Amino acid sequence: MQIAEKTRREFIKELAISAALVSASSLIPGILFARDQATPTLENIDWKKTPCRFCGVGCGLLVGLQAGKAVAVKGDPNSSVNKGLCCVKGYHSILALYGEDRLTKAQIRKNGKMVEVPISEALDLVALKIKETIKEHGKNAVSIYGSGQWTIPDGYCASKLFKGAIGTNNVEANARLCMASAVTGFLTTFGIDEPMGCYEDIEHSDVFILWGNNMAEMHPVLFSRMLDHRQKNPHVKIIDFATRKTRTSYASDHSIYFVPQTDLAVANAICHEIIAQNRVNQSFVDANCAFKQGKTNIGYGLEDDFKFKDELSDIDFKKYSEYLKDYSAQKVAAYSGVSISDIKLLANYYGDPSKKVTSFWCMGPNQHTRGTWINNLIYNIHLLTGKIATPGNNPFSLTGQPSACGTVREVGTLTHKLPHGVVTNQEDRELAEKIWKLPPGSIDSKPTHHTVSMFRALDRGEIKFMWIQVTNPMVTMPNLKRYRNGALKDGRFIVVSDVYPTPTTEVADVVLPSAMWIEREGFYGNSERRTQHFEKLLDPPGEAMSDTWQLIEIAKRLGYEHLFPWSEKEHIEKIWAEYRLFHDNPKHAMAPYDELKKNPGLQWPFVNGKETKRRFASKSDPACDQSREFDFYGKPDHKAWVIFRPYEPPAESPDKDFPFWLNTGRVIEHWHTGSMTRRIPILHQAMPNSYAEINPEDALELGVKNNDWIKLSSRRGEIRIRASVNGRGIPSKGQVFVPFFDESLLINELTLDAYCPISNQPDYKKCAIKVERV
Amino acid sequence: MMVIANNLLSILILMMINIIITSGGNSQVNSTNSTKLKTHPAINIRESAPSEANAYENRKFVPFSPDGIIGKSRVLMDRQKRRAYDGAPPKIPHATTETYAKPLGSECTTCHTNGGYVKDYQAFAPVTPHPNWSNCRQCHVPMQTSDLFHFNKFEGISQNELKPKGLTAFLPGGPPPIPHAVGFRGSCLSCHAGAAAIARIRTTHPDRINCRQCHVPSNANANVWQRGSK
Repeated sequence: MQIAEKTRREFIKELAISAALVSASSLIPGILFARDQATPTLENIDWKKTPCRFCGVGCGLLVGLQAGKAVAVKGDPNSSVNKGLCCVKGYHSILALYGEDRLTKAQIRKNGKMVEVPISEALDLVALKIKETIKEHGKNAVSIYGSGQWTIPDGYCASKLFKGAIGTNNVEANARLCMASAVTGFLTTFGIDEPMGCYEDIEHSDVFILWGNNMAEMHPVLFSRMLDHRQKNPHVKIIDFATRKTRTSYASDHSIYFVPQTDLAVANAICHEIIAQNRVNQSFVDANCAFKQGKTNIGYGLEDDFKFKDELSDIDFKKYSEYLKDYSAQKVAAYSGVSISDIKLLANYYGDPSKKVTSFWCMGPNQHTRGTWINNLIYNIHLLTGKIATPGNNPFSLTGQPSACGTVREVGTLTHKLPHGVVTNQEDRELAEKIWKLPPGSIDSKPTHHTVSMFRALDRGEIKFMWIQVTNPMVTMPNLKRYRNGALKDGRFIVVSDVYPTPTTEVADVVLPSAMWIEREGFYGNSERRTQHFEKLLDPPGEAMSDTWQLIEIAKRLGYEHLFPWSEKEHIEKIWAEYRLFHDNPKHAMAPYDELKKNPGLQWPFVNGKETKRRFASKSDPACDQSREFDFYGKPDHKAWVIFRPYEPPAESPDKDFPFWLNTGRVIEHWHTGSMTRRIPILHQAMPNSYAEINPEDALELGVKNNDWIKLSSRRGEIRIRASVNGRGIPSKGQVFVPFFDESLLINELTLDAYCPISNQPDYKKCAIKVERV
Repeated sequence: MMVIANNLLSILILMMINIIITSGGNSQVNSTNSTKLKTHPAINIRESAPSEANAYENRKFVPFSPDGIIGKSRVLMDRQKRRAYDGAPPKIPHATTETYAKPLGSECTTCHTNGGYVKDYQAFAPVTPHPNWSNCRQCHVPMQTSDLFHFNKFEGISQNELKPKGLTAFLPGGPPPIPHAVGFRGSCLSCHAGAAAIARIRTTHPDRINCRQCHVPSNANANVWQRGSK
């Protein structure tokens, strides 16, 4: 049967019909979050679950394996985090395993040149150097600097080896540059770290307020989850509170731009309005809040010998309200760039008892010389209104790295921390010594250096040996030149464990090739207290070895084999079992190994076989005193602390010589310093080089067009870079934004190493620069 | 005896259901010539009772624009070139600006929600199978350069290598199952119909709309279900 040749008219008709059908089909409810995606239809592909390698959202992936290689990725529909959706980095994450220049052999520096050696020889040298350094300069001359991309066993072994066996608190991680202010924010307000809410709150919220948070690029999967929720519920509003117009701004219902650092003042103004409008949730506040104030005029940590200790003292609600009088909408509008009506709008959303509000933030408030304060201030708003720990009411501090929570915060790979508690607390030290089977007094009671201080000590020569794992500080340290020069000085010995050559391996004396992600077994812990296990799915290339096993090999060579008595096959399971002992209580209990192996992630506290979705609310948290509706059990008084924190100016502001603000950050295509993502062709081709976003009016005044070369300089350094005008992001007038992923355009040579004196986290978002045409 | 009789009966019932509701013998992904469909050894359905497949299989479709220009027809290779592996989100193959419109994504959805002829590219815009997602560049990125930072040795599964079981219809003339994971491609017609669809995977009967009435996801690895088994 042959259908006759159609006339042109019929073609048009058919085309119109099929176009109409295609558009109609989009109206047929498709699948938003896939249910049937897990159905394997491709032959001989073995799909295995793993958390994504990249950000702190912690998406569940299914990696397709064939003939010993990873060949495909799909979102895991069984993961409650992403329900089948990923972002462009996640979908292409497996390509990061196959860059041609993967480090497959160990290298040691001989006569100034890096030479490949068997890994055992390199490990012998590392152990020898540790021994020699301790013998000559004491245990506090050796240090380890890890990462929020360390797996939990990596961080655990690093802590056990350095804090336990060696006895130095020189253990830090790059999460200090990323989440330290979030931690101190939690500890000062709640006395216990990590968010009380969960991602599911997105589906219960009416209003989202994003504090300096370009979620569209940085937490894209959660952002899409939020957009999806708004699409189904058109009353939902997304408010973008930022210093720069971003993709997030285009998706939000309203954007409010503030002058850098004045977020402190605006947060207080919101509280002032809430009180002035009588919208304090009095019964919640009476039952659950205590009012405090801390020290003021606290400095910026720019001096090497800088020391600060905050002290909180009691105030009452009346006193707190009086302090807030300096933060009326009118007064704050005068210097924040935020209009009175916008301040009232924010206060209205937070104060309206009929609206459930979620606040999201990440590096904006954290990388801030008053990072702890702004975290406290956001909690203040949620506490005054009682919008916390219930479905949809959620002050949610998002995490940057895949295991900043799981490893750095929960295992405690920071100078003052232990897997449970802090080194300054005798009971916590005794618990660690007991679990680690160490003689009493093995753990030093004094914290040593936080990250900036540690690199300063390396520069000054107090630290002689540093082992760097899974991070690239020679791109990411602020005021970078000082720390690179410091690392290169004579008498410093730098060991770098990584998967690719980076500017950090360039300063190394020993490079150890690491097994990456699914080339070894491990765990990550994401932003919502979810621990995720991944199996070893692939063989690492060459002599590459997991960071955990590298640490164990060194421990053996230092004579601590009895503390790490595990076989290569079982060591991850054994480490998990030992680590769980630290959290054996209903406030922090971790799921058992077998459960984690089966599930695409489980949230802690994992009590009586159940996850805890929301902490501090008695209904959902078994650790609460069940006679109360809420129990903020992190503090001895079982209350959440509303801490008054004032506005204080940043460490460096634009002036006559350096008239622009410099802000730095990420782009969606690249993970941190791009050492993995730049080796993924599609990501590099989409975003080959860094650029400097400048405001279109400023560009006009400077005579700079899009893509022109410009020179940026600060008191610390300068770079030549292409201008982006009306590009992906548009900074407010007087501001410049530069992504930091590009190792050939080191923007951190310009940034300032000022930090929050409470969290010791540097501020990468504010320093003064000059912009010139070249 | 009873068992065999029962089996025969159920096969017959299946046949009849097929005859009544099936459509689209030609929508098999890898079959370019539907007349080569194997017929069942026992019963020749095609001759005894024409299925809907016969009504559609010889339909032809020539995409052309409203002003009469025949657009470039996309081929499977185009699809493959744009993906790191089958199932990866395709990159954006044309120039874009970084200037966005509000709401986010509308700069993409203007062309990619309903499709249609785009003069600038002399091509028909493919229709997104997931118009509900609006942060398009979360997954799809444009190419600024063809250079590489470093060569990458990754080899992903590609469309051409896929020969999954269950691709063909269970019975001749019957509807073939869906040979790929559906995921966020729940809107079948966006890829299988319209001027921008790749010719080889274009359905002959887009007017039936409710694709999954007849085409169901296949699970090549599933065991045969037995009563009482888990």
